[in-house]
Amino acid sequence: MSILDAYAQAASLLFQPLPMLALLLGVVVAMIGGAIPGGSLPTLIILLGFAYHIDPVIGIAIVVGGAVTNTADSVPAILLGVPGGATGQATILDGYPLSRKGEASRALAVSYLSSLTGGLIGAVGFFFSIMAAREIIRLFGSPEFFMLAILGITMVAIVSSGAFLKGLVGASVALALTLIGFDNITGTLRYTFDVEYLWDGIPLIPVLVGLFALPEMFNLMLSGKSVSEQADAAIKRTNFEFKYMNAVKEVFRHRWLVFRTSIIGLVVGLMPGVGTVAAHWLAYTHAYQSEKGAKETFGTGDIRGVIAPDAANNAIDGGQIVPTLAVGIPGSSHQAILLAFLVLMGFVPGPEMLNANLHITLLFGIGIVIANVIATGLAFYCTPWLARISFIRPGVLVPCIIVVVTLSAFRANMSVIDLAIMAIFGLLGVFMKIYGWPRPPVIIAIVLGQQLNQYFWLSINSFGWRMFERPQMLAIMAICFVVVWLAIRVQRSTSETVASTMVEQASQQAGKTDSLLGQEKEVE
Amino acid sequence: MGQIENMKIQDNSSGPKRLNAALAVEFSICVFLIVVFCLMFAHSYDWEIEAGLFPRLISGFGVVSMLAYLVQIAWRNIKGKDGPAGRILDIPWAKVAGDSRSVRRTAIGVIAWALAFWLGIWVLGFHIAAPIYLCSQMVIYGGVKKWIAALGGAMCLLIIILVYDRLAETTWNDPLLFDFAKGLF
Repeated sequence: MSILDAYAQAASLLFQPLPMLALLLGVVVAMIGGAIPGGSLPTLIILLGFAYHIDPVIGIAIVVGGAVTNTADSVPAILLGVPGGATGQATILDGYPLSRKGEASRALAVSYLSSLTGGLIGAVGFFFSIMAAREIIRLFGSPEFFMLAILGITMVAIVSSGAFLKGLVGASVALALTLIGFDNITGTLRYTFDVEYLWDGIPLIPVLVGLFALPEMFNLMLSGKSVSEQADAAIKRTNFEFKYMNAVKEVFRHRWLVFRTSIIGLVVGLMPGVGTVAAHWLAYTHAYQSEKGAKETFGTGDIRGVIAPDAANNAIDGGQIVPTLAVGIPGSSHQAILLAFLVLMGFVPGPEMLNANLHITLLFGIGIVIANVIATGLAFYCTPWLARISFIRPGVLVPCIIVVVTLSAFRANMSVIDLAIMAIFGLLGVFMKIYGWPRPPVIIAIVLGQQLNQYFWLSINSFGWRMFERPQMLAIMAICFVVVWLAIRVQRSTSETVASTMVEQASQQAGKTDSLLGQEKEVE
Repeated sequence: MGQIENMKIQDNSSGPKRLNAALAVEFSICVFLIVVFCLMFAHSYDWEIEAGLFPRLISGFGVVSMLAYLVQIAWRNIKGKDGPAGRILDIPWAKVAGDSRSVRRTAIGVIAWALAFWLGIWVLGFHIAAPIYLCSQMVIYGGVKKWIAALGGAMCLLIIILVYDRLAETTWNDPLLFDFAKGLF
């Protein structure tokens, strides 16, 4: 399939009333979920539960719309000083002080527009990267995909911020779980212990709900009381009057910062496993070091401190989706869930997604562009309501979400045993979240386990152990080592720079307070 | 390690004792998993080589990674070092405010109610268990008035009927109690 044909096919599939409506629905739900602190992942899982049983194009439209939670993430970050998801911490540093100064509307408007610009730059990057990935992937056979899957799991474990042995342990347990059930290649029943339910293996959606959605809700229930109190105060002090032209002018004035930080987001996204948080902080520290006068004003409510992380935040989506679709290595929990959705729908990440199913891959890209535009438009009009969602007490919000995720988990196989699986993985997820065990390697191992088995069998049968002598295989191993080394270096330097930035900002603010106190004493 | 930090957040009064307990639990889980992996490895020899080779690789990898992790926690415990707490790809545990006793009570309550809800689905079915769970949670943890909670429960039932029954045509489980009642009459 030529790339132009694929574009035409993707556009003709998406620009139909039902898929567009589904995309809109996904964006609306994502905006609501993004506005809830810690709500973006459960929202994506809820959408996944709905999208699973319907037409693939409509399902993809819902899930792509649902993945654009980044735009709404800035609402709790700016208004309440609480991150909406894994990202948002850097936005808080300057967004929250702006909100306290009564400039929340300005900060939000600029945040939305820089997110939109970042999202669009990310999408352009996605289209170019897909073309390059298509050429490279042609050189690969089953041994290379087997090695990529192994290295993908290992890489995500290694870059899990130092907890790499925990990541490897989690991944090995998850891989062992994927062995349960009917082996499609040899027809052998493995580790089923004569239990009929286990013949199809461990179902994916209850595992996702248990590992990702339930722990977030449990945490929100325990920590969320103060958030709703803060929301009350924030709504009272904010007028929510957006001056659109002023926001456009402000983003245009800092266009090069938007461009640079979007490129940072895109490049970090293209490096499998580095993560959204690293891009977010890298963009913020880049602005802190490169912008004029930033060292004096950052941390006290400088609009550039909102522009930089938010532009990178949305640009990263376009970058991350390339390794997710092309080689099955997601760069964040959101991408891991997207990957799980693809596998559930019967699509296999790898060469198929760049050849026979290229139109589906491009559907993701076009969907991201449209979802970003819709999300920005909605954000401008719905921010007061989004802010009020944060005001809802966790005691009301959490049970509603638990009921919906339970329904999602049940609907996957219409089996009540799935709820027991969900409960077991829910407890495991809570344990992992509290005790610092990274969850993405587990989910990637569960998602890729079956394919790993298949690629291993094909490689052994076709090449034997000589598969390790193939030049492509050696090249992949070398590239993966370089990427892991780069990822660790990027993360270390980001955390060091973030720490020094925070210290510098704190000492500057302390200096300002001292001089003010000195002036007051002189006056007295 | 990450757990030390989290424990400090939750309970400052009995840190070392709690830490030892957590380490003991972690150690026991590791040993249990090593045994499971060894059994998996041994069991894989029951199958022909095509079906057994991959499980052998996975269980071998599991044993090696578990042993490495055991050595790491033992080393850190001897040296008294804390491991890195951050998780760059994951959402970290948000700090829990309030005294440890009330936090513990809320945590146990939330888990117990959720388990009761899922058990309720098995015994009574979604149409009864979900509205009751939602209604009771809104009163107990949400602190809303009873009539508002009842309205929430009714809305939940309506959504189940309209969206899941009619629109999505979900096939529900046969509740245990109804099966039992059918047997009686």
